[in-house]
Amino acid sequence: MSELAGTFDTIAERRRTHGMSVWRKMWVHRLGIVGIAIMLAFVIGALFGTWLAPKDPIAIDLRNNLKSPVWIDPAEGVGLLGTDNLGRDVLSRMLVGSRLSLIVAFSALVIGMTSGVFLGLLTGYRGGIVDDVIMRIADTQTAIPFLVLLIAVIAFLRDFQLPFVPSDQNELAKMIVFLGIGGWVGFARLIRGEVLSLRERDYVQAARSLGASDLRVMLRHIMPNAIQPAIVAASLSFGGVILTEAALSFLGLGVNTLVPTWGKMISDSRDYMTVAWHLSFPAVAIMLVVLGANLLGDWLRDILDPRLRGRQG
Amino acid sequence: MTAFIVRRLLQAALVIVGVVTLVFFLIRVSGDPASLGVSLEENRTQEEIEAEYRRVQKQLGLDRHILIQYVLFWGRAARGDFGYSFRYSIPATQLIIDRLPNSLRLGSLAAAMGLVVGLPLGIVAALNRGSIIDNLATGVSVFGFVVPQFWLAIVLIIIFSVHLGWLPTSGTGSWKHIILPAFTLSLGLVATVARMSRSGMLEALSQDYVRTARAKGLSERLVIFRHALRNGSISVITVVVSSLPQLLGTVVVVEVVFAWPGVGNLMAQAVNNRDYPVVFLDVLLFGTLTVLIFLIMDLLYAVVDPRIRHR
Repeated sequence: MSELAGTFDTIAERRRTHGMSVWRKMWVHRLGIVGIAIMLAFVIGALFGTWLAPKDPIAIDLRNNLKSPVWIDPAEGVGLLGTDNLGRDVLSRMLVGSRLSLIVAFSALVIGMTSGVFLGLLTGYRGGIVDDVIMRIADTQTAIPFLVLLIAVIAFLRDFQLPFVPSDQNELAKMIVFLGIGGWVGFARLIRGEVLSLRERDYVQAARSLGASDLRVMLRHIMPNAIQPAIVAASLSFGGVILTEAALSFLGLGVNTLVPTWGKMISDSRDYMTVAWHLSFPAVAIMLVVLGANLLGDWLRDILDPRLRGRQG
Repeated sequence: MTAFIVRRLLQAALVIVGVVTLVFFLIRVSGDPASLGVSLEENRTQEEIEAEYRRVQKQLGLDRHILIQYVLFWGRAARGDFGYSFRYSIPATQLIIDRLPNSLRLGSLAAAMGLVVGLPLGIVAALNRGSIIDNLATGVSVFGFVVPQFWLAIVLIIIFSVHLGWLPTSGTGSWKHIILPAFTLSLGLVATVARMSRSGMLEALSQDYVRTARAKGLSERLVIFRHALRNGSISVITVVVSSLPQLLGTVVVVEVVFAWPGVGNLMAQAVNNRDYPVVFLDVLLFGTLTVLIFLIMDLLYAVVDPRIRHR
């Protein structure tokens, strides 16, 4: 009997530690989980924003302009996050605008990452003059502060029409391409460094001596092993892209659309913020999404690359 | 060491040539600068307009082949001639020179604030891991990283200028004018410096020589100041200097919000006025400053760490 009780105790003990270890795991990764939750919420908002929006985001209601949120001012307030200077519902505009903000940032990252990974593979694998030329171009680009470069490029190429893009989407597409091209250098340098060390590994030599083509070696053998840091870097730079787009919108170089990005919303309402603080909610959204992306990136780095664990912490 | 310096100088020069080339061809893609110089008054005939267009084109040298233009451009640049501002009709260099001291004043104050606040914050946070100060440092770093600067600037103006009336909203004049812009500009730097100096200090504290110093019975103060801090400072200095270019990008936004008459604000105006010579020179200035910063950092680093020179 006493033996049996002992067994039960052990089982109970094991169950308890087992239960704890799940919670402990969650506790260890708590910041990552918060990051995922934030990003998920924003992605859902972006996907279903048009249905979730309580009001028409472009409906003007001048009798109810600059009203406070209803939970601040139950008598006079309009909407969950108030209204802007033309009486449009701030929450609805943010929800619908989130799609544009996230699409711009996400597509820009995809462009930057694809071009950067490709050029990084090329320069790292080939070396020689290709490497020299591309890396000097990279040096040149990093020599100009990113925002300054973007301002100049957008200004100079104001009348430039991208090929294969309908003219009403041109401005948006240009913004995405310019933001994306700005990001290639980081990815290329990262991948190039990885490739340089992977190139001489035995399994690469083996693949090459079996007669695999350069392209095959690059794409099938080197890239899968070199891509992880690029994925981490991508999620860490997501926030930077959102902030840059916001700064450009503020400088009047953003994209003009019916429902604007968060950055444009803030810059549009700068003159009214003195009387209506709730127009700052798009800024809160930006800060949250930048935070979420960074928490997610840190977490990805931790689980993908244990060597770097605790570097920042 | 001389060979290293020469090599590094050549590299820097090459990058600046690259910047000039990049921006030169960008401008040429942007459209026809000659058409901007022609006034389109109503009572002029088509012939008159075309004649003036050709005159402007010739004056700006745009009637020649683009590669010749490029070579001629270098010739003029060597004499310090970067063309006239389309808007103000004075040399673009003059506009930049007039505005540059303001930007340098703002930038150096912000850099100093970033250092004076960020460095002790990071070091104290590392020494008291998990304490309130550590959490505060993390909070400041995170906030400085995620906040859109122009929004922060607007909020600061609303709080300190509109409601409290302590500080002017914008412009220059007294010492009070520089506080808000410098603070806004410095926040990103404070965040970076605090984060990096914290991790640099933590790394230094985990080194063997710190353990040795502790083991031989040195006081904690000596361990920290003589051993950890001195060795950790190298990586911290690197980080601080290399985060200065980040400051340069933000300068444009901050100067615009606070109507600070510096080169960043000038650039934003020039972009809106399509004043391309000014934009060009501004980009060149920012590029040169960045290259200089990295150059100085590399040279400092080579002085501190002899291994670098022989790479």
